[in-house]
Amino acid sequence: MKTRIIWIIYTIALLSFLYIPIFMMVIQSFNDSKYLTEWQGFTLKWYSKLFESNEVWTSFMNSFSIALASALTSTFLGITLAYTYIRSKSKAYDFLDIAMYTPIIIPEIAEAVSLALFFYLSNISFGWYTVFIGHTAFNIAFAYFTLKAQLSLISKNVEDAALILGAKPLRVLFSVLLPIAMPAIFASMIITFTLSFDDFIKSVFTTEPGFPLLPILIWTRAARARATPDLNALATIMITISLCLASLYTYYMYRRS
Amino acid sequence: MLSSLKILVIISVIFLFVFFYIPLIEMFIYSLKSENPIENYVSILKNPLYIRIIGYSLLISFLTTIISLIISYPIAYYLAFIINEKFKSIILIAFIAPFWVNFLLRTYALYNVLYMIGIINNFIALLIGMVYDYYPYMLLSIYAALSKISKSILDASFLFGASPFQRFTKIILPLSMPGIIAGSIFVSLTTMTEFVVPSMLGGVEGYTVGYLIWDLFLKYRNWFKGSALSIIIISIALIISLFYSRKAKVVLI
Repeated sequence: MKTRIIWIIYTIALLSFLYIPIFMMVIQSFNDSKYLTEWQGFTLKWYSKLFESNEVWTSFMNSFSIALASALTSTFLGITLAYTYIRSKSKAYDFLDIAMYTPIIIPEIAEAVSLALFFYLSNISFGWYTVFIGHTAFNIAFAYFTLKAQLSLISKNVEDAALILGAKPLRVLFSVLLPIAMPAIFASMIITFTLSFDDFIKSVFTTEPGFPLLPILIWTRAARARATPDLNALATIMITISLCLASLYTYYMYRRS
Repeated sequence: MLSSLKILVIISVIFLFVFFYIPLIEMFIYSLKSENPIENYVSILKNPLYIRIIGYSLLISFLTTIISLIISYPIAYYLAFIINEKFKSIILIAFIAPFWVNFLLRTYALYNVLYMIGIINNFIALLIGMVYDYYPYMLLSIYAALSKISKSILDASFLFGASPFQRFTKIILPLSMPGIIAGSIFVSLTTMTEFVVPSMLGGVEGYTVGYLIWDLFLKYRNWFKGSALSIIIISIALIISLFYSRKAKVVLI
């Protein structure tokens, strides 16, 4: 009994370590006072201040459109790679499998500077496409691993049965495979969307000042001691969105089991 | 069907090759550009300041990994063996959910709390920040390994008279090694070059190698040296991951 209480206290302590800062930020976003230490009453003024800001809105739209495009592209390419790897018997794909790991293990800042250098030396001007490319090169690898794990659970017998019963390969793809793989595809899109939307390091090195992105906006406000309470409001909105995406992801990922 | 997918596979491979591997190769070539091909490397490795910063970053990454391991293992153990099924998934989800919150915002949230209690802009704040942001990765990877241990092995050890201590050191710990290794690789590699946490929480003690690369590219515009330093860091990262995977005889990749 005594040890059980120790376990519970320890778990609660670690979870508090994780959650107290986040909760405080959320509470602070409704605080009328500018200062952390005093509570002056409930207000929504930081939210209205946030929505008036053009800078926030533009950054949000830029980040959102890149994250959406990157999630769609990387999941689409990732699923073709994952499927081919699982079904093909060619040795060449083992090599490809290893090649896909490198983006995940090398330091992000090294990948980011190499991309910056590449775009600079190729005379490509920085903006939407450069950020999109940087995020997608990483996301393809990530989508590939997420989807590979899920697709390998689908039995080949299902496809063979459909083919034997006379379905054309494309029909098998659209009526058999994709419906079974749909939860995994959604899960992959949600995770790659989040990775791109939140990415800071690669974004900094592949964008230019005229093309603002949300993580960079957060960074310039949070790190330069210029933080205003409307940052807490922005944080609260983003936390809400993230947690909704997280629950969707969990739902799709584990629906099968 | 595979043949019709071939074009898409080729597109993905080209994409990855052009936008991931070519930039890396180009950076490597760029790092060799000076009168003497290895001059950029020599000037980094001979500069005691650079060496100290690299060493300091490795120390931070090592301490973060150890602290994360120590605080995560008991929870992972508790979740895998002791807690009842009803609460297990709730607690697991509670540990995973903060991952989904933007990394900068999480660090900023911690900054506010540390600011309030007066631990800020120093080494301790930096370490707290690193552990705060990364220990859940360690926890989940150890939990994943522990939850795969079959109950019958544990029952067998009990029947053969192993004490709880022996059961832990001879069975549970060795079998959880792949999880410890995977978690350690992840935590040490990411914290080694971490830029956000040291610069937000570390103050003057936050000058790590990630910060140095950042400055070389964005502040001093010394891209040759920045490239060379990035290549050195990539090599260290590869050595660390090889070291770990050899040590545990697990196939990391």
